[in-house]
Amino acid sequence: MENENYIIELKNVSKIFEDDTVAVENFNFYVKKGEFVTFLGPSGCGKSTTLRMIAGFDFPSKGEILLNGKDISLLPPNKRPINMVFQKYALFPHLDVYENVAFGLRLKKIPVELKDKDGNPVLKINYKKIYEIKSDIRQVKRNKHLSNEEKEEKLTKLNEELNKALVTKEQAYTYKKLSNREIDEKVAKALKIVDLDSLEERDISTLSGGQQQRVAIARAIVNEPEILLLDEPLGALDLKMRKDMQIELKDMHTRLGITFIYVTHDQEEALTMSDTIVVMKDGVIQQIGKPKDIYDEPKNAFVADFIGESNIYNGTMLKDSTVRFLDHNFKCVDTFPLNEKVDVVVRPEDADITSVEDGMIKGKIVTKIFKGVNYQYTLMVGKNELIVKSTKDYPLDKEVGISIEPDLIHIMKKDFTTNIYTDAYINNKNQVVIDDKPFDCDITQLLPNSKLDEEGYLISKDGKHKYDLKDADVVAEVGIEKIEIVDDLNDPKVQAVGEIVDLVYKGDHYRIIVRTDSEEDFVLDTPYSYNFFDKVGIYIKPQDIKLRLKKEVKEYEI
Amino acid sequence: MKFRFQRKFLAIPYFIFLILFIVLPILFIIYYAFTDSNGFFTFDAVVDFFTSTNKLNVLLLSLMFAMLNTIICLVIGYPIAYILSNTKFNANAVIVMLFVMPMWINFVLRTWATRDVLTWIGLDGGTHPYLATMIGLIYNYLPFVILPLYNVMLKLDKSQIEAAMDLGCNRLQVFTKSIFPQSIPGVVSAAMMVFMPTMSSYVISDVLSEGQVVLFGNLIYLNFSNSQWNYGSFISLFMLALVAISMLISRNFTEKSTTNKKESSKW
Ligand SMILES: Nc1ncnc2c1ncn2[C@@H]1O[C@H](COP(=O)(O)OP(=O)(O)OP(=O)(O)O)[C@@H](O)[C@H]1O
Ligand SMILES: [Mg+2]
Repeated sequence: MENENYIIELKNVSKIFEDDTVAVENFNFYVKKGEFVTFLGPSGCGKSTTLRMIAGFDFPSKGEILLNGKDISLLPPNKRPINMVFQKYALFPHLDVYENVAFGLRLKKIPVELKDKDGNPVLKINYKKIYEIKSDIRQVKRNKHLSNEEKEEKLTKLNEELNKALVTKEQAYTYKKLSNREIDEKVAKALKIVDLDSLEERDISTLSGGQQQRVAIARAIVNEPEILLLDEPLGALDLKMRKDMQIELKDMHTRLGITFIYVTHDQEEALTMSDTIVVMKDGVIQQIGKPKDIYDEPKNAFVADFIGESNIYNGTMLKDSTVRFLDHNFKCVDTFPLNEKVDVVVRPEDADITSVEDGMIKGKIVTKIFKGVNYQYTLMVGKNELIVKSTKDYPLDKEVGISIEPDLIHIMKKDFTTNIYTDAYINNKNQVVIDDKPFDCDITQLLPNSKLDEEGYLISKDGKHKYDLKDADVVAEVGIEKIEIVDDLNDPKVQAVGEIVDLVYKGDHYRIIVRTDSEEDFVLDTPYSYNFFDKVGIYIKPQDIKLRLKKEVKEYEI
Repeated sequence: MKFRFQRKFLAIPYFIFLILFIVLPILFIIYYAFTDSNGFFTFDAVVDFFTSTNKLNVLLLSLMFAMLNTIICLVIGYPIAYILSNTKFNANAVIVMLFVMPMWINFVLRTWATRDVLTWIGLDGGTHPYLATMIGLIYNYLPFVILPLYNVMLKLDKSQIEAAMDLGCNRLQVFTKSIFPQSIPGVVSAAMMVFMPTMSSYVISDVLSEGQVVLFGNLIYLNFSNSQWNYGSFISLFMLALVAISMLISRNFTEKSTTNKKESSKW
């Protein structure tokens, strides 16, 4: 669907680096003209990579990027009407403030229509365009991430364009540079916008961080780009300065009417500045929406946890519009299948503290922090914690009631219940090998009522058939509640070792992802708290590994 | 009176060193340059130098050699330094060490070795004195060019290259508008490290040309070794003046390209 309001569109864009890191996976989204869009996500989730693909510093491995409906995926950065503000400013130290800002203008060439003596337009074959299409064709041919069909399709399209360009005469242009006076005017205007008009002649190294940041912004906007990209532009500033610059940037956006694409890992910054937020995790879009929608209706536990403080619980749907969590049946407004396991999110400001009699559930206040305008309480409800914000003052250790309005209970489909390993296999000791590590398991489950003989062959129920499952490919499944964490890495029990790469608190337990050196993930729940990047061991009881053969069991008969 | 230690006493050893090894020798040179063998004041040495076509030829030849050596070393060294500063090609700076290692070997030894190699490939000093000298000079001074350039380029920010592209530079313009201007201080200091030492070098030209190429350094040496103290001293003084002038020029140069006009008062 083409829409002329979309200034930039990413279609199925993926970026896979040479070392096989998948930085961005199947990105689909569009930006409307004049919008302020923010990419938000934790470190390493692919925000910068996406921005760099829009700027042209990286080319997508798959998919295409459309600017005003035209594919620019392979266009180099100097040919895109897009400018970027870099995280570390990247100003030119050999030039003063004025020359830094004028840098882009001095390179700019304004096309002027070529006319003959009689004032008729001159038509010529556009050799530059032909050259560019040819280089695009070479690029596509070399791209090893595209499937053959995708390549075929792109090449046909490019060849068509090429054939057309070879025979069509187009309006020819000459190019002229901006005059010094024009440059002067534009630089002065840009410096005025960023409030630096008095510092034109200063050396870059004598500027403060905030001033350098402003120069970087002026240097970008002076070129009047269609899109301004900002990669964590305020990351290096202190809190006060950051708040001021946030307001100024937002103000600039309104005044200039340029489309802004902004990158940050600060959720507050994203919520206050953006028209649209794109929440990302591990190179995958989690949710796209207006700040309010993302805050009020997070799509999954990750978004809820990342955007603002939340209480997250395991819940079960009882019937339509009733969900059970914290040992109570709450009315809610969402509909999910009966008995579906769900994540329930309650924002701290959405739970009300009442008297014990009026509350739906009761809890005891265990901590209390004054936060300027309100208090933040931690309540123990059974063995679960519940964080509540309230303007009223309650004493510690007080038993209180809690009530939550049905429409303030956010229910999300559970993102995960089992770990599934699709490239596991059985080794010669009848263990299942997941991620190069052998795990003891019960392989008799692969054939009902079978047993093992002394040599380790699988014998069928009637004793007539014998199977050798060595090297058999299997799919292994382990429930997230079935994986144990072992703190002592030297414990003989330990079957695999990994690092904690993700950790979300869910009311009474943590959801943890342990990633091994070879990049296999074990997702598990644990009541104990760990830190990011802790090295831990993994143990799975043999009976908790569910196996499924990829081929028929017959294939392994001997 | 009790002795009280003052901070400025710490400067005394340096002061003595300065007097003994820098100021006094220069005064000696000046004295000898303007006296004759009997110790009477005279401009003999000055007149002799500026009227001897031989000596002026040596000056001209030295300037030529120094200039050529500087340019060739920069042309070869600049790309090498640029490539080495990219960590992709130069993990752990090992390759830089390879280029710099010859500097640790005494250059007289190195020069004799060079001569043997050159003779072996048929470029002996007897038949190709100029070429052999030039090759020896380039080989000797290349590391002095690579090191300062490498240091400057290490500090170049990769995102500045991207910024330049973002603002409209093509590949060539990225180099001419961003990389090269920023590396000028390195170029100047590299040129300084090559130009003057080449002029005054004498072992390299002496050994490699088998005595056929006489550079400024050889000239001074020849004068002193023939007990022409007064002539030798004046040539040394002239050399000293050249060093001072080139330092002034290079300082002006780096100042203009790197520091701000307002900051220049610091110098
Ligand atoms: N040139 C590269 N080669 C290989 N992997 C890369 C390269 N650039 C980035 N990556 C990887 O791609 C992933 C995404 O990186 P990216 O810089 O986009 O993250 P980010 O979201 O901007 O993080 P941050 O908030 O820390 O800046 C990371 O795992 C990173 O290590
Ligand atoms: Mg980043």
